[in-house]
Amino acid sequence: MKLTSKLKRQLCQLLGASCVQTDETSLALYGYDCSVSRARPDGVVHLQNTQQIAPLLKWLYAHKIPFVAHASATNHAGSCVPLQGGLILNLGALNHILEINTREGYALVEPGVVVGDLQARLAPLGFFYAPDPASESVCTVGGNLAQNASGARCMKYGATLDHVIAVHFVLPDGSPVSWTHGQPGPDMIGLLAGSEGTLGIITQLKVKILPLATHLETFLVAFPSLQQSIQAVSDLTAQGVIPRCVEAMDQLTLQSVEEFSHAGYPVDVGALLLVELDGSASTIKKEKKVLEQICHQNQAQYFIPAVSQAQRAKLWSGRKSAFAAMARLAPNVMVGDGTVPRSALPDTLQQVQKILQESHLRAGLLFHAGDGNFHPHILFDQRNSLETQHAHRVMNEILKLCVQAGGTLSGEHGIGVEKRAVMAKQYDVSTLRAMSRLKQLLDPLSLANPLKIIPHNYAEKAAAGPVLSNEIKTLQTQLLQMYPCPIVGLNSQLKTKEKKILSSHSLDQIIEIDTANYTATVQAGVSLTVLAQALKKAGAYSVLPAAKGSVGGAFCSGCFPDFYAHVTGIEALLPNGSFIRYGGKFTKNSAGYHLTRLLAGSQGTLGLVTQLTFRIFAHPVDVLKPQPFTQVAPSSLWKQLVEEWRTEVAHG
Amino acid sequence: MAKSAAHSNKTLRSLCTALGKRSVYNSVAHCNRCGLCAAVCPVYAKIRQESFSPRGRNQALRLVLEGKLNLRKNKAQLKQIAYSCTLCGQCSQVCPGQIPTVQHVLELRRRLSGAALPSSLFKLMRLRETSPRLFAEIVRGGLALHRAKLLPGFSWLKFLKERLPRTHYPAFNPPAQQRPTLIYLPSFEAQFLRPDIAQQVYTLAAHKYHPAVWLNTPSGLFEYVYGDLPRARKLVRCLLTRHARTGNGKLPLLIDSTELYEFLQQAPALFDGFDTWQRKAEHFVSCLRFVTDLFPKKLSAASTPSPVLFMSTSLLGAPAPLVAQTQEILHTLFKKNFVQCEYTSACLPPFGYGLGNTQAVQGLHLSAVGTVARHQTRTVVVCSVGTALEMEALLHRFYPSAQVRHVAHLTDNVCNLTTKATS
Repeated sequence: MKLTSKLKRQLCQLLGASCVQTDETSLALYGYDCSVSRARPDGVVHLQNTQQIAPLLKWLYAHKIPFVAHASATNHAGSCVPLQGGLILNLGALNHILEINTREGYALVEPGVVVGDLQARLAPLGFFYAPDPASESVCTVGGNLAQNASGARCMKYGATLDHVIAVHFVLPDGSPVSWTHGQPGPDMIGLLAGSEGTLGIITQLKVKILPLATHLETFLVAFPSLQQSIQAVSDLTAQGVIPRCVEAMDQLTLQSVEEFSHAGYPVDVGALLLVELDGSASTIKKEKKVLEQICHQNQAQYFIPAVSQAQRAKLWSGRKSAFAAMARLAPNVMVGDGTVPRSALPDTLQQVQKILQESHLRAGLLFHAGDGNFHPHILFDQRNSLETQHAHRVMNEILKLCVQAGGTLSGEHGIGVEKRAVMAKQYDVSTLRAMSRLKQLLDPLSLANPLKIIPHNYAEKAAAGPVLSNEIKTLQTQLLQMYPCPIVGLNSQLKTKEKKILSSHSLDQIIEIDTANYTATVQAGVSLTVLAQALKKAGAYSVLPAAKGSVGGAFCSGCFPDFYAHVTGIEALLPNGSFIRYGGKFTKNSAGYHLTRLLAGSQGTLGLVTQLTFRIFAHPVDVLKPQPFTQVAPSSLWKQLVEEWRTEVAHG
Repeated sequence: MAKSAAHSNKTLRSLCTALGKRSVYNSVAHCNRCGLCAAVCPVYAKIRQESFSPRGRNQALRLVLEGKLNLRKNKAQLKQIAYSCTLCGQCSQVCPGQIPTVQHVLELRRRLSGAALPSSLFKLMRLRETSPRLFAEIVRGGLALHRAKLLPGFSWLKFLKERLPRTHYPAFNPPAQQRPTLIYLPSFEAQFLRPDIAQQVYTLAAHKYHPAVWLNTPSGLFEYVYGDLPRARKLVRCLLTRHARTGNGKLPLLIDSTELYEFLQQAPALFDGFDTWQRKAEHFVSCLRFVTDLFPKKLSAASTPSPVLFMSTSLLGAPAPLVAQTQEILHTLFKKNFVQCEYTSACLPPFGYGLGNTQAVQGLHLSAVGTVARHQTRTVVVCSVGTALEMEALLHRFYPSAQVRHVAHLTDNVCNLTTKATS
């Protein structure tokens, strides 16, 4: 819509004339991000403080004006492009670090704080903020949560979502809300991870900060083939060694990187791993020994430890300049971020290389070997529309390949507009519908960053969903007949007067304990004791205790909030009987709304969780202590969500 | 096409980029909008708006070249974009594709020719060539008017009042030399505002190259920075001719400021398409020397009680080899007391080259002073006379216990070179 002079005048009165721009030049400069997409907004608003956000959103809601949050706009998916025009809300000036509390280990920041600036403030205090996207010198903490960004350290420390303790947020209708991790009820912060500004505006974040590692050692290891390098990473994980970073390059990329940066990489090898260990001196010593042994078992050709800080910097300079090495070769670089289960990485990479070779496009391949996330860098010139279309086609093919391999379209960059169409390949109709209803609930007028994430006509394009087993079908029928009814596990402490109770006790199958990816897939009714025994038999461990109750109960009751971060995939029946699937055996996912977190701690109100996939470990880990069960009365938003998903059956 | 013909003389045909010679459009189209440049842009750090980021500047030029932004209709906004850049060049250092944003900003300025400053100021600057004494008197008169609040001040003009009355041209006028072995080309600031630095450089030069000759010729830097390319070319041509006619035409040419050095390094690019002049310019560039070249190879450490801070801030970006050379000298002289400060926290608006945005100017000034205060230094070393002037005025106002020293002043620490030369 066009911003009329009357509306502009009102906006100027609301925020101050200096904060509002509608000139052609400003509009042209806020229509892009790091992707190829472009669109023209109708106005740009430079916000000066967080107090301006709620009244502004109220005003926008009253006038039905779409808006897009914008800070550094460094994303690769077109998430900041205003497809429906409207206002750009520039949050760049909301860059104040409000508090750093080293005793309790958190930092309170505004959404526009640049990650690199936060790290610079924390380093002298002996602390760091774990997420480290490659663009950390310019990307913002708020943007990172909106994309659920991560980086090289993700394997050990997790993505942004795992480091956010609390969020202040303004919904598109201008109502402010505050959510805290671990608060009774669904983990609403999880909703924001990967939401790409489509649910409202983040106004403040409380993030975890961690003490800096006392010791750090970096190793460069070269292998004859990509498969052997990946096998080494799997073996390393199996031995219980979780490196701080495991970065990898294929031959083609390492040759171009070495030619460009002269980092001292051997070029006569098939693949290269850059491994970094952190922790105490004794731990590193032990882990180094294991690493060396495993690398030799996998026929490593070179094992080069960085003996000095300068050498470490030199080794990293190669990896860090990989993007630069590619960026010089062509005006545009399309960067993908498909993620697959680690065990599927070698095969997937082989097929990706084949696709790239057949495409006749120049491309390089970099990957975070530890978490199965890989970045094809496709070179093209945007001015050549045929070449651009071809690059998009090739990238879509690669992304589809990731989905076929049991992975996700996006591990850390988000969906935006550029991967939107491929979402229909990853999720079935009911899952996409659940996401769509979620968006509709929080943003009924579709004003917050409209037309992103969920594909158009998904009902026609997306797959119909899996064939349900008999036991799930039975539960589905019961759910439709009985809802609203309490849903219980094996050790439910829910106090209810309802006579009709739906139990997950029939879902007692352990589907898979995968020691290649170190994930377990179990049905929700599996008892924790049975799980512990099965894991012991397989030589694996989980963070769940061998206590009373079921895995689903542990997840939904809210007694184990720290377990949520370990859950990578979920299957569930929603109140309307539709069956949804989200996530899988891959460790990071930025494709769509984080449905896993929404069902976590929901105490059965949002549906029946039927299956969970979660991380397990090769070595004993600290077992979580359960928090006392608190039966919570759903908040109004929670109730609305239940209602939205329940009544959806009528529309569906 | 008619437009491009009209621009042909006023704009560059091609740019010398890190990736080779490219047309302006090809060069600007190489920006893939990754935004990493914003992390080091001192102006963006203060204002946080896309129009003030290097990415925004590149995209603005691209849109103009593609005809998607009308130059005439959007002149005011484009002018703000083009003239809010400090031309420090840090963005190109971190850019994965090493996009020459400074060159693109200058190209945008050329296309906005005449929009930046009143033509009377350009005429005034021409007086430097024809009548330097009159020029100095007019600047003094201008200052008097400024004091009487009859003349609106540029950000830098107010700083002159402390300097100019005491040091107006020609405070130092060395005698003409027969058979010179070196030419010293003082920067505009050294010529008119800080002749003491000029004298120091000249004395240092005379010690190594005797006799040295002083060349009072405008370099064309002012015109180049303000988008008057034909005039800049003309002045550089004069300079090339003067150089060719002095001595055997191969004399080394000594420069005292990094921005002037960087500008003259780009002289061949100014004559793209003019083969004869380009060859002459290439020879000229090979003769350029910076003041750090005059330092003896073996230096002994100097004692200083407080940290010595090096600010490499400069218009057009200090060339990396010169910065490295200066750092090496400072490191040898001051050992652990030498502090290299981060660029973004110590970038100053280009002295005399009017950064238009007062919000940014104030922010940059405070950052720079804050950096000095944070390091509790008493000595700030710079390698540009323009930076020395700007920093000196700031420290005088906000942090008087620290003093600014041009790199040429470090000779006092090296040995008694100055005394020897004078005697």
